[in-house]
Amino acid sequence: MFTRIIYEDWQLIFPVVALAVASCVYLAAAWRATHMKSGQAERLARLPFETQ
Amino acid sequence: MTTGQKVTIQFNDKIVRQFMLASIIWGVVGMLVGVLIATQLNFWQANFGQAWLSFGRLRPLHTNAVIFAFVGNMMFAGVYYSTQRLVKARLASDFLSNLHFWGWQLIIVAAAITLPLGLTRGKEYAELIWPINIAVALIWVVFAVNFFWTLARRHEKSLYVAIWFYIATIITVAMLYIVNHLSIPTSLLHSYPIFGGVQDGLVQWWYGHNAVAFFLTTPILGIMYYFLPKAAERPVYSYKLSVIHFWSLVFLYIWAGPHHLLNTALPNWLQLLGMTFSLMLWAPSWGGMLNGLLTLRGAWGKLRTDPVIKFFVAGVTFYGMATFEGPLLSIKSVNALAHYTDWIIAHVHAGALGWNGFMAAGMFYWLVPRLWNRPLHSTALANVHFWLGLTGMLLYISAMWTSGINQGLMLNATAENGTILKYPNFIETLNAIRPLMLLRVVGGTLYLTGFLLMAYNIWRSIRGAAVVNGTMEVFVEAPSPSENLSLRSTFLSAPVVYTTCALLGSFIWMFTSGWLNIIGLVGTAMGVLLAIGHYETRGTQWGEWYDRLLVNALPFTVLTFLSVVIGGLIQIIPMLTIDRRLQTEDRVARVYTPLELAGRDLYVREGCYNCHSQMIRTLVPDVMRYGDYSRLGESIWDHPYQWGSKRTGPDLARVGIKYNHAWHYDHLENPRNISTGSNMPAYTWLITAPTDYAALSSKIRVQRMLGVPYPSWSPALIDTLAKEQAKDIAKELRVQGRFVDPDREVVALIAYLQCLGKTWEPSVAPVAPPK
Repeated sequence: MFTRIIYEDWQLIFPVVALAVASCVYLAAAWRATHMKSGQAERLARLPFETQ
Repeated sequence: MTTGQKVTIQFNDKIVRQFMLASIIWGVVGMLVGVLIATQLNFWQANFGQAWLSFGRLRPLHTNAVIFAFVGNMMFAGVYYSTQRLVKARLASDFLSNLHFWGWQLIIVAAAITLPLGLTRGKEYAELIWPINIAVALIWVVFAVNFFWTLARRHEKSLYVAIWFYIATIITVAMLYIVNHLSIPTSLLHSYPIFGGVQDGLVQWWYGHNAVAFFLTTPILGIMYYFLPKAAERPVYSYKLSVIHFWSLVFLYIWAGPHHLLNTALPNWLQLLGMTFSLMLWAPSWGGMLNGLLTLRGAWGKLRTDPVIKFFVAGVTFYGMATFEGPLLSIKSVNALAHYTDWIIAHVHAGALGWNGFMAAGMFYWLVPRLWNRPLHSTALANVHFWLGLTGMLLYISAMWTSGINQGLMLNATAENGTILKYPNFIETLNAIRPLMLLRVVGGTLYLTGFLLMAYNIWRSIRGAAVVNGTMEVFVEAPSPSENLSLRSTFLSAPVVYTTCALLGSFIWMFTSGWLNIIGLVGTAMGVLLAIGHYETRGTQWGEWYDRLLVNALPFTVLTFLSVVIGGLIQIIPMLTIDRRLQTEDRVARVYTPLELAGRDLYVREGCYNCHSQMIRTLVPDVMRYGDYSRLGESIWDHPYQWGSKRTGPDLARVGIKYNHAWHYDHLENPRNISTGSNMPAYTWLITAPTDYAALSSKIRVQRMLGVPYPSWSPALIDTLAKEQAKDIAKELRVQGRFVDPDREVVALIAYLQCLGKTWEPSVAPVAPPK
């Protein structure tokens, strides 16, 4: 059977969790982008033109 | 000057340099105070026990400094620089320009001294005391005369779109400022606004909202329309779109003020007008934003290298974001969650830091090499400024969004099938948002750091540099009488006649019922359809008329004034002309006793309204938390109204029926005595400072002049009544173990706080006033 999970204090937690998740995504994306090698970024950016 | 010859004019760029540097200096001050008061919300001790450093007194200084000192000076720099070049004329009067500059700086200095001293009118962004109000009005007139005189001496006949926005700014700000600051002085440093209760609230937000619209938005849009094409080196994307942008924006904006009072005791028809017109603002705002961004067509490559373009693009983007968020927050159900919370703080800072701050930075970086004839000291440093500012802003805004939604959800949450509040103690919400308030300080500090880097960069750029005043060769032409617009041609033109018909129809539709309502609806539709039909068949006539209007500054200004004045007249006149004794719902307030009035003035002096509302909204969670919803009649005699706009602490509309005197005494002495974790300042100075009984007689005399039904007490009786009530409260405090001199300010403030929620009586059936 499924167990119903109830967060009693969702009003307290969810906005902060949302901010934390969004921040993690942004930070991870920023870290990934800044650590990408320039050659790799160049190659990926040119992918749409490879068939021409 | 003889006509038919070439002349060289030299622009007055000295005044532009002065305003620009003043803007940077006051910007640092305003933002520094902002960071300090944000710190105080985390660490209440950060006022160092000084009254003049307390949150309630410094928050008005922060808002006034940023709006009127930072953006004000920036706006004057941009307006004077661009106007001279657009109309091909030097500013009309060097004397008026200097008077404008030094008068405005003097006003700012006066504000920086009086606000920390607690000298205030108690209305947001309209706190300055009456002598300074008069100075502001006079200096604004100086600005207007200098501007319109320059237009009259112009060598370019057509007025460019930026000038339209400047005209709208000058006339609308004058109208708003004068009406909202009408007061009757009680002394050299104190006055009461002539409006009270709901009337004061409505006038205040007609002003407050349109201070945002016509001080922080329209002049900056004018600056955008001049400086962005210059920086991108291409004309504005669509001149036609700018015509639609301008007229729809100035007409719609003025109606939106009541969205600051949603779900309150404000009559519902006004709330609905405020909400509806706010939603309509989406269209012109985004039209303007797109017109700005698309001006960069083919020049987006500059975004990578030119910090000016970078700041402008981010600034215009934040304009789009803030003007999307504003209408969203004006929807009544969204407002029920967001109002009084930090979400609103996030919204205003997206506008102030993103739109105003970044547009200012872009303009300054563009101006420096042109006004001092030397390249910017460091482009790299300007880029660092951009990224620091952007990161700081995003931290600030996301923290405040989260905090606001958190507050709204917690304060509205119920349990036990909606029968009890889930978080009955207000402090629980405060504790929940503490990390976010700290994040705000970090974000604000980053933004300030970036701004300081700009100040350093500009200082290094201009140090020792030779100043440059722009010159231009113009061909002096004789005025052509055929281009003049007479009064008849101005008003009996197709665009004006059709617009007037459609507006009249819509007003009949909005404000009547039955057959008249249907006639209004049909009239509106007919007006619009006929206008479209006429435009499609005789469109060139419309274009020719508008071209002629653009070379005639006076008719243009009159039409602009009519556009901005309609909304205010329709919303405010009905509220001002009604007999307020009949607009009480089922309750009518009694007048404050002399001591309560003295306490109320202390409440205003300390800026308590910055953190506490006195308006229980017609919302279930509000009523469950604070008591019966607020009626119009409970605040009809309040000059100024104190409904508030933010709840950093709880609502106080009914606090008088909750606690005894000792509770209030302990709470004011140190809020932590009562409420563990509170971030409210300790008001220890109230315990030692004496109450100003001598001022009461003059204050009550002015209240009587304003229609507050005080008996005709003699000054001696007023003094006696106040002192007797103070003695009673001190006696009761003594019984409760608190020993204080009756003549101390804390006693007067307790008298006021204890009457909140108790000053009304059931009103009898409305009776028409005697004829």
